[in-house]
Amino acid sequence: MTGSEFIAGVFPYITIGLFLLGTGWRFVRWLSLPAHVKWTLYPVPEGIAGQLRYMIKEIFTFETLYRFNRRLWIGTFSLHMAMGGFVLFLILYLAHWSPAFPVRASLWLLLISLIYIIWLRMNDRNLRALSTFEEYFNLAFLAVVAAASLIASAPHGLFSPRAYIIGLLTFRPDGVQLTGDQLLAVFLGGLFLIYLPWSKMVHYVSKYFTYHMINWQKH
Amino acid sequence: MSEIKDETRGADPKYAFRSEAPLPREERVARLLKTLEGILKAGIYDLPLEMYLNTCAKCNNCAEQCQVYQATGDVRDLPAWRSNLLRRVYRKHFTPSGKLFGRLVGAKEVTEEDIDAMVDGFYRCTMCRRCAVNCPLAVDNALITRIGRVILGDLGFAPKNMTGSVKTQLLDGGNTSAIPKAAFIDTLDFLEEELQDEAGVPIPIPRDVEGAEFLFAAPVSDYIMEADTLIGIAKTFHAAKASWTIGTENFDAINYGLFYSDEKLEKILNRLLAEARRLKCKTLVIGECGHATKAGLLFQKVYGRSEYQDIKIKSILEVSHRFLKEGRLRLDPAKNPDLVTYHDPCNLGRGAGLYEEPRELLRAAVMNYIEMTPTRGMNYCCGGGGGLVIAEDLHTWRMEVGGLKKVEQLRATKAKIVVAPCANCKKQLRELIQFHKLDMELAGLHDVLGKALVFEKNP
Amino acid sequence: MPQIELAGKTYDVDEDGFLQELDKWNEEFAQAYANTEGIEGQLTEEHWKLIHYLRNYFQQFGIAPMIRKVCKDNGMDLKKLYELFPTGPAKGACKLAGLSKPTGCV
Ligand code: SF4
Ligand code: SF4
Repeated sequence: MTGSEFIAGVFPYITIGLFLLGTGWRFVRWLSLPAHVKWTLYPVPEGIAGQLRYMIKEIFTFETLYRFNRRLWIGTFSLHMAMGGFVLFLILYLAHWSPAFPVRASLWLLLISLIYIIWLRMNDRNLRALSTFEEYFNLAFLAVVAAASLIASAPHGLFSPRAYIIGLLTFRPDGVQLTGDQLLAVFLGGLFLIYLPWSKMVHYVSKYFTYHMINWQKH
Repeated sequence: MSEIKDETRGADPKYAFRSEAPLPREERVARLLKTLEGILKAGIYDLPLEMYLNTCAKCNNCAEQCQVYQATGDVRDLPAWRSNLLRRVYRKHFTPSGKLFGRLVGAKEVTEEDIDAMVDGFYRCTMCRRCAVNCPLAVDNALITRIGRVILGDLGFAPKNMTGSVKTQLLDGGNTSAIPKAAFIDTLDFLEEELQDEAGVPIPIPRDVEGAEFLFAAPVSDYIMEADTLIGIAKTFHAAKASWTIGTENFDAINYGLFYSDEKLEKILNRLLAEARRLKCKTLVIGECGHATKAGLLFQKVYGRSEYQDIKIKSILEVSHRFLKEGRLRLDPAKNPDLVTYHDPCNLGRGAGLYEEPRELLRAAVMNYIEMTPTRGMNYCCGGGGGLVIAEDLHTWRMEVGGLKKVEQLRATKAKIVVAPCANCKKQLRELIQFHKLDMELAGLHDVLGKALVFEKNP
Repeated sequence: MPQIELAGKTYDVDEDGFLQELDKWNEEFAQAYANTEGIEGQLTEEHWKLIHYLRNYFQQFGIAPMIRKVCKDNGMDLKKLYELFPTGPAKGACKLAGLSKPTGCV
């Protein structure tokens, strides 16, 4: 197997596996940690319905940030929406329900949001004071992934991205014909996925714990 | 990795408050790591601590909600910046990635200067938890402050008044205000006379009654400062025909351990529970005091001795509220005609969820009531929370920085009376009113309630 | 132990200037301290009445009395107390009366 065959045909499975493993490990580890000291933060939203309503509103609007830090909200909100849009439109695209254009638009939005946030972190006095190498690295890493994906998904080469991904999903990977820039995108995207659960961007898991297990803990 | 040793070790800077006996400078780093390790191992804070130390988006939302940062605009008052003083140490010494990648993942070796910054920083936070309410990741900087304080306490850093008061309290029969038993009894007698004068009927303050349902413990400073609160509470118990008592062996609910030492917290809490057990009381009722209530409610399970686990701990607000709901209190609001507003003590509001109980009591007891803005979960700290109110050295800071937001808020209500059912808040608000010349008076909740209670003469 | 020199005499005090021993107190001590506690000029009869009252109670019980009791026994309201001792009864008045510093949340 050549290096490019490995990246195109095997590496994606490894990354997904490691991503799920990492996320699962985090989840299970935190689930096993008892919160002996009760650290509830009142008021607690009423009942399961109230808590769900709060969570959904927060996830889809980032209301907390909107209220107190609107400049960052613009960036973060569009960043997360771009990620959501990317996944959503990718699925639609794979199912032939959507053209490739919205997928690429999501990537553009992602890239622009990231650049904006990096700029904001460097230029806002307080955000600059808080930001360490880690913050810039995470943002830049994702920006590079987004940029690489944009280049790779531009219409070129013999193989369509759709055929490639469908191939992966049906366990008949045939990546030999990926071009160099496409290989790079796959490689970087994979690295990012492996890194994600171990980085502090793991808040897609931690939020469950900080809200449900700590802030809203029952007596 | 070898580290370049700095030969010109600095001397201590001037700290904002005096501590009794800080460790020698060169021993602090090692001790800090040892203490932090102990806390991580003890497992009391497992989940919250691991969450808060590992995830913070550095979004700075917390600063926009912090009354301290809003007053100073100083970078070191950004809550996430301060928390990072501890977070980066934790990362460096207790996480694999931090050990491996160091600064690349925001980890940093702790230095003596970092510890100086902690002494400064962790006592510029009132642990009010307001910043946690709108943190997108639900990170609570107040808990990090608390852990930081516990570590610093182990290094010998804590305001002198605080550690001194705790020492006095932990003496046999001691209490934070060093009130001897004879003086205490004399005070109770005096209060009974006052009660008779006010209510026109004899109202006792029962002492050492075995088997009473409620053991009542006030923050002991009330017996010097807050006659009206105590009178109101005695009236309330009496009106409700409740079976209650005060224990003369230990009558001090204050637990400054909450602010700087888990070890002290545990001792103080168990002493109090022991008094409830001695008198065979089922319920320990904490007087108007936020931190003492929270220390009991949050830590009974982890630090209360197993033989005391059956003793219930309640705030006097819950108890009086229940009396009200059961129709056991006859109130005449006309006795309180002035415009009244309510200050949510952080430890009773965000810390214990007692938002509606005091309000329902007040609405039943006063003619005119106005909410502050913002209120309830987003109400501002008085600026003296987290025990800062007893650090005399921090008086100017409390008046000019910590309490600034509160003063604006109070002024805007145009109320004549601000009610705050917490000994810490009372002291701070009274000082704020004097310092900023507000046309307003401070009262406890039971001060107002007591005035409105009606008693039948010669039944 | 810190010392303080007032009107030509030295006294042992704590770091906040509170006298260490009750019976080392004398009237010059009180008068000399008055200015630092925000009282201008000579102490008045009302000041002295309060100071002696506090000292008497302290001698008997080892602590200053409840503020409400101070007011009642001396026929003054809280406002008057603060007029007499601007830094407050717990701090200012006790200090002048030579009592030890109150601890805890007062
Ligand atoms: S609001 Fe929360 S996540 Fe944002 S900086 Fe503050 S603590 Fe961190
Ligand atoms: S707990 Fe209160 S004082 Fe401390 S950082 Fe948060 S808002 Fe500020």
